[in-house]
Amino acid sequence: MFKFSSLAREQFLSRGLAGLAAALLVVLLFGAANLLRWPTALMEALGYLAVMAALASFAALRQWLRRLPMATATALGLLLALTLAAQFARHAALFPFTRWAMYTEPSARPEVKVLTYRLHFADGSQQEVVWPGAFPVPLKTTDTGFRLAVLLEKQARHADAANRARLAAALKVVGQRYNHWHPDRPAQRLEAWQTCVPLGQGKNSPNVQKLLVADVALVQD
Amino acid sequence: MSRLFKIELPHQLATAHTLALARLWVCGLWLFVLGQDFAFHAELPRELFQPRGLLTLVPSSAWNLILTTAGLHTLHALCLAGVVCVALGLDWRRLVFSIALLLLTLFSGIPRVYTNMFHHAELTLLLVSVVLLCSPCYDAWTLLPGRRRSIARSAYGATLVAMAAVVLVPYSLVAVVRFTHGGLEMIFSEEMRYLFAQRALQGLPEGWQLGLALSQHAELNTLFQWGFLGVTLLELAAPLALVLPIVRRGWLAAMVLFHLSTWLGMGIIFTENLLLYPLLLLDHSAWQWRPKMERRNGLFGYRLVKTYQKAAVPSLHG
Repeated sequence: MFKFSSLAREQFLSRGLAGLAAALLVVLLFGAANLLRWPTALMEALGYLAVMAALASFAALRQWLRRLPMATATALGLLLALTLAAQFARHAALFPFTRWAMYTEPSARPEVKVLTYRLHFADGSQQEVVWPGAFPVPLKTTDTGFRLAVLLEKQARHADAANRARLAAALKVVGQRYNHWHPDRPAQRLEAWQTCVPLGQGKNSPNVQKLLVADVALVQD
Repeated sequence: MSRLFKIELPHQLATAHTLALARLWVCGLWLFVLGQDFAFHAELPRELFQPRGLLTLVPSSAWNLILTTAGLHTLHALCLAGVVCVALGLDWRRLVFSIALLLLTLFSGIPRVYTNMFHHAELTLLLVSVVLLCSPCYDAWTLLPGRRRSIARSAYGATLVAMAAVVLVPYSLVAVVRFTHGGLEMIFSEEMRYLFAQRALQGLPEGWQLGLALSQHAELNTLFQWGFLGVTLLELAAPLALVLPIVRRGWLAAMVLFHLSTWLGMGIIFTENLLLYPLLLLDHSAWQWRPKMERRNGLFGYRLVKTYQKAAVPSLHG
């Protein structure tokens, strides 16, 4: 009679999990589940399950887990659980665990929106700059100045009076940063403008709109 | 074929010194992250500051102290001091490491809260540091001699694999979200062309126009689309790099190229992550920190040791 030894059970489990993971990944890749109109969140959860099942199917990884010191294994389990939880949590509700979802939503954007800063100098001249072009900071997307530009671009157009005041205060800081890096020629006033460049063929005239003015004399650092 | 897809975890020969090297490497990356202008956040309007997650546990009165120029200078200095102490092993029962990680969480969180942009940049480094905190990372290269517990040598390599898992698994998650939310329809759209144009116009220094030039050639769109699909599949397969050397090497090479291309085309580069990959995915433990006798025996000595290692722990090699 066939005896289901522990080794056979282990192999059965490994291959079963690997098969399940492979099937789910095929479903995900080819969008077959979309035909069944499954909710996206369920699809996403199944995808995560597939990834975890694929990992668990490797005996070498299970062996490795047993070799981890208890404290390290606990930390790893907690970190992975919170990373997974953050995928479903409200925006940054579990910070420092955040949702990994870069370039995942279809945009169907007909135009490119660009925020530009218009600097007004004491001699009456003007200069248009984009962040971080005017700022000799390392080329890093993590730079707060760049993130402020994105915030202004997203919120300034539809902000109410209170929000506009906050954003104007943020714009003032951008101006102060500019003066910090250009002490030889500080700006006096700063305006935020949005330029919309159509991406479609034959529609190449950009639409320019003033979003916000920091109507204050900028202080030189 | 079976040789090509053989299962082998990295860092099999890791020692206490290998993990100490990882500690120094991670601290070096933190010093890189900390080398930025930080105190100017005090000038930003406080109304923009709405804490999220762990930061909501900090009382409002404490934020009033922290979000001043002096407070942010102090936080920055304490983070620097903490990272240097961890690097040198000047710690007592991991108290300095724990406090440093809490302070680094504040340091990473403040710019994100002000701008409501919670991207992952150095957060991966933070999670890797948490694994390091809970590991025997002080067993070598410390100024203060710690209490060394008897620990299996395999624990050092296992810890490095755990650090790699924390880095690799989220890549797989983002690929799942991309397939389930956007699907192939999104990947084969004009998304990448749009992103190149957007980033070239918005976020890059003047004269850095490669992305814009690329986005203006509609015929390159097909290349972008297939590249996007390739990178997404690589992201989905990221955890396999833990067990398959061929995926490990391929993933590392592709991701370095990918980071360089997004830097050149879009100005996006997460240097901290890029520098974490070689530490966690290259099996430097095999040639860098092997015992004296093996070194004396040269490459053949190393091969012998590796064969012995395979014989000793056959299950780890599939």
